[in-house]
Amino acid sequence: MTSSSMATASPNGVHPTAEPERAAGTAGPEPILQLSDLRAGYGAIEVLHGIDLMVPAGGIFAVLGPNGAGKSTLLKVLAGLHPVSGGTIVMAGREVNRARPDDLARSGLCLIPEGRGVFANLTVEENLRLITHLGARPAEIEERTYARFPQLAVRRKQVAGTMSGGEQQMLALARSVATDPGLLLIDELSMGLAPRIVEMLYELVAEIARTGVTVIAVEQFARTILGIASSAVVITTGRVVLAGLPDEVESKLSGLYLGNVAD
Amino acid sequence: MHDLIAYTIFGLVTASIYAIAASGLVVTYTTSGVFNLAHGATGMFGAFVYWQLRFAWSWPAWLALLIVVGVLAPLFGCVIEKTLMRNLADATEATKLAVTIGVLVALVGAALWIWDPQTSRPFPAFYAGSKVEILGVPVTSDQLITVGIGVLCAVGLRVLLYRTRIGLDMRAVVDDRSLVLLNGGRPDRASMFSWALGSMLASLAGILIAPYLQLSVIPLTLLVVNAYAAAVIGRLRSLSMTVVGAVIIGLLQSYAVGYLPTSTVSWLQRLPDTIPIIVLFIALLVLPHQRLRGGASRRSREAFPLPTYRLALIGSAIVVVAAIVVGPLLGTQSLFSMSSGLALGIIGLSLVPLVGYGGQISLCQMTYAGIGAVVWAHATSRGNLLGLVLAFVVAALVGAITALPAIRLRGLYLALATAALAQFCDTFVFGLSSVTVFGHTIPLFGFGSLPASRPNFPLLREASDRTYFVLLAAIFCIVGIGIVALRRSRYGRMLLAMRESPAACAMLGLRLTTVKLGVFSLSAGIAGLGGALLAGLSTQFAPDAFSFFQNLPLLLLMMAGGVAMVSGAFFGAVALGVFSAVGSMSTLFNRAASVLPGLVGVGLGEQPNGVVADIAAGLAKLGRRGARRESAAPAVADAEPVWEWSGLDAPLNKQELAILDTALGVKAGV
Amino acid sequence: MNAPLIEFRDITVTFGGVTAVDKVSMSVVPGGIHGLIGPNGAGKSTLFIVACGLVRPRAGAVYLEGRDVTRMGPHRRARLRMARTFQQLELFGVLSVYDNIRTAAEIRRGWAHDHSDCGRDTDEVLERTGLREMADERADRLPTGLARLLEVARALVTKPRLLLLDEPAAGLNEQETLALSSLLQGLTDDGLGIVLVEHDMDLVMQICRVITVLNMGQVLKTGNPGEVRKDHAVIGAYLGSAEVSV
Repeated sequence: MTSSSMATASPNGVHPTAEPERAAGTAGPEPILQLSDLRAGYGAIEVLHGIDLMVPAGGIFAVLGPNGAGKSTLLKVLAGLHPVSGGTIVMAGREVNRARPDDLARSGLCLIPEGRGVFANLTVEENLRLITHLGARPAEIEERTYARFPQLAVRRKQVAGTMSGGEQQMLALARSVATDPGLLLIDELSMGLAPRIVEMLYELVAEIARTGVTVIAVEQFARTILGIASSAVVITTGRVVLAGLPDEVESKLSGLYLGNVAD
Repeated sequence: MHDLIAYTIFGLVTASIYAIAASGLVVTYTTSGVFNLAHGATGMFGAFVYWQLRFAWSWPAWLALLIVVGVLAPLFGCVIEKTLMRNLADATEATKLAVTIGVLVALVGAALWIWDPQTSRPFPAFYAGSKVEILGVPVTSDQLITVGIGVLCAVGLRVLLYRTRIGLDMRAVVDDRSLVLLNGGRPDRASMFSWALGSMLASLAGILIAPYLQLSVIPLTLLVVNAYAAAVIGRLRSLSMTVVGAVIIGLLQSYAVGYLPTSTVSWLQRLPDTIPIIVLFIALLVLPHQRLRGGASRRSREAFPLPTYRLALIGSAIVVVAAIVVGPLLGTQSLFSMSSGLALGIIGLSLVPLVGYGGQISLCQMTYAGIGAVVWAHATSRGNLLGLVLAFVVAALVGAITALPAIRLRGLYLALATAALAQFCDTFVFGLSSVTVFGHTIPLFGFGSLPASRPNFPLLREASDRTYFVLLAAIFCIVGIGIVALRRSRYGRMLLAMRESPAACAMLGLRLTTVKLGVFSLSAGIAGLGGALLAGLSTQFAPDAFSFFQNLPLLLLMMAGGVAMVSGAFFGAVALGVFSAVGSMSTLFNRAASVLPGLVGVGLGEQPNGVVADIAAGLAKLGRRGARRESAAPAVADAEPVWEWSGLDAPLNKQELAILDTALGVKAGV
Repeated sequence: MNAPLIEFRDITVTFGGVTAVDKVSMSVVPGGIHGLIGPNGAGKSTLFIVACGLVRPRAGAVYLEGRDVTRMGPHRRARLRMARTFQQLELFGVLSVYDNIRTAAEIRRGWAHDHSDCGRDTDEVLERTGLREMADERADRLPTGLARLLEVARALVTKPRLLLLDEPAAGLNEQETLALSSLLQGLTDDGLGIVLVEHDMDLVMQICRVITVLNMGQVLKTGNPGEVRKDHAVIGAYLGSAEVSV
């Protein structure tokens, strides 16, 4: 069992702060995530055709691309929800190709999936209470969360599905913070939300990143995320076509998204 | 007024038991995604174990209850979940159902094995005898206790789900299983707990209802159909609606007993028993269905060779010759067993186009067979072959008529509707001795049984047992070749196309309803023919031979053989014959034999394609070993929810739009 | 014969109170490829299934060659010579490539009553799409590129006048995309009208005569590829700029 051995070998998982000896041993900052020739697909349809990627620890790493490029699949593969069909995923120095999603989550990886990252039929309070595998008492978690997201405290008895889209995403963010992740994956936070709300949410994300969490954010709508990202890649049709600093990436985006008219 | 109160109280007693059973079913289904057809069997087994402890070994009631409901039942649930159900997450709906049917048949077999059905086992109610008066109506204490336990269970479940940590976990799993994983939760644990809880509730319901039904295996097992009705009213999802459903059914049934003129109108006598089944059928047809998960359209990697006439003819020749050679070697009893296996095999062949090619699920083929048998018994007393044609035609017509309302259902719901139909015929229709319309009495199913003759083939009049055995083998082969021809025809390809992708078929201009109706009636017709031949074998029509329960081993063994292949049906036929023959050798074997089909069904979780396909694949692999490498298809499950085709010809209604809502990812904005 | 192949008039679709498509009008003429693009959640797939008859719009009407088909089910629309492909491959997996196409031809003959030779029709389509070599392969064993081609082939054998393509290039490599593009262009030369929903923008920009861009359930822009590419509103919609007026 790869998964269980992984869990025992690394109780602290991908928490960068938990392994001081590593930073001392190497010259540059070791990447928290390294993908080589990663492939995955649905049945006979290959969606990711060999992704090579290196994500440095700390900061916000933006993954951009038009719809259908394979961004969401990439995140699902990273979180262990979707099988790898080729290549390797190395997370904080360990290969995690076949790790189970719950084990990954317990070792510090958190994915906020596309569209709905909350349990819609549970109340805000119950959504937060589900996170007890860290040993913290529910009351403690709630207290910390409400201190940080006061808006949620007002809604604690409300069923999550009846809140607005922005509040749901805020709850999803709050819950992920409560799991104390080392690596946070966010899939299309902006989906179906008004631009103003998206900006507010990304401010929260930037705040989370400042506490030392590495964030990988998948976005189709590039501008807001590029404003806070420390580096970015563009994926189209399952391949990385561009990588660099946010400014460089932004200048070339329009052509990549809308294609090139022959002559 | 006095009567009304009395009937209401009795209705509430039944309702409480239905509610307990149905809540267990709903909890298990929503949390684990497997609809447990063995729920009733679990309750039956629990009741028997309780009887053993309480009355055979004279334990105190509280201790027996604690051991059965508190220890053994949850343990059983956990073991079942861990060993069988956990592996079924990616299985097709048919395989999931088959595995729970396997558990059902195995439990029934085990109960018949352990507790000899010939012995009578009195099962007095709790504190029977003492009475209190409510509104002037005497109420026994066991009735009060039952209602009390029912209320306690409803409240307890509510508290469990909304006030405890494990309840929260279960609700989270129901809400979004993969999100639980992403949070580091363990959905498997919630599933296991739900199975434990389901078994506890089932056994409790079994123990409570046993005093009213007497302690016998089949009625207790099939009681679960009544619970299905309540659960379907709760859309297999809402516990409170399930309780409401249980109350409706309990009261309706009690009032029907009280107020229908059953003593004067003879055909009404058995109607009260069928009330839950009628409610189930109506609920299935009326209530909108939200398909929660799973897709009948899930791609399988099954082997699916195109049968050739050459192979079919060679196979047929071998079968007939084997029948001629083996026939004289068999004793009377074994010959009868093998013959009935073949006749059942012909009924099993009806599943090949329906389930194998068309991808529909049916639990009422034996009912169609019974109709064929009755038609045959009435049509001719001299074995006129036209009677067989008539049996085919009438069964096909009944198939078409009964399929008409069920046709818009799929998967689990179709299985439940066909089960309801079979149960209805079982408890009501087959019990009608005759009906009187405008003074004309039409004889129907007689009292207990009807005499039937054997078909008289040219040159083979008044066939002996051995001749009839060979005849059955030959007819099996002829029907089999017919099905091979069907598979190779335009219609066969169309059926497969419909199974593989109903959406694509509709978009090519195919009217799905017509094709489904067609395959249902064809299949019913074949079953009717088989039924007539089965009646001919025993020279009588006995309703017991065509009961709902008889469908289960048949379906299991056909699926075990490989329901998409004629050879699979032959395997099933031989297995049925052998099991029955082994059973007739000694009482010990007899009891063991009744467990076997269940074990075979349980094994389907591991080998859903059936053994014949596996053997064929193995042979093929041997044949081309070294010549060609197996294409290394990555074992990737379709994790992405494929948008589900509703199976309708008409545009979608509101409820279906709600499903699309999620499938298309249209999310509520701010 | 002046009526467009398919015309949407003020189509509005709502799912559970959320408007997915909002008063969209669009019409497709014979003999060209009409691209339908837009960011995630723009309403492309909704409009597509409205065209097929899988969802009935809340308001508005759909016309096929001038005939109101708004209340018609999918199989009846197919009989009016409309065919489609599926993004999530909906092939008849256990049947061979040949039988996939042949079954479609047989289904067509069942409703067209024209005694056409299904075998010959199948052979023609096999030639045209270049699937001849794969004819005996089981459909679910095909690699993506060929499977997508088979989707197109199966639709073609029903002799449609309007072909709806749902992301036919998803998962294809460059050569396969090139082959698909020339096949599609060849088809339009014979007068077929094609609606193309596709994410591969290079392909869309190359082969479409007209492109309709949807955003947040509304038509943002209709025009030829050059116009669409330079349109600020379109670029804004794709990149998520706040100045977009909706």
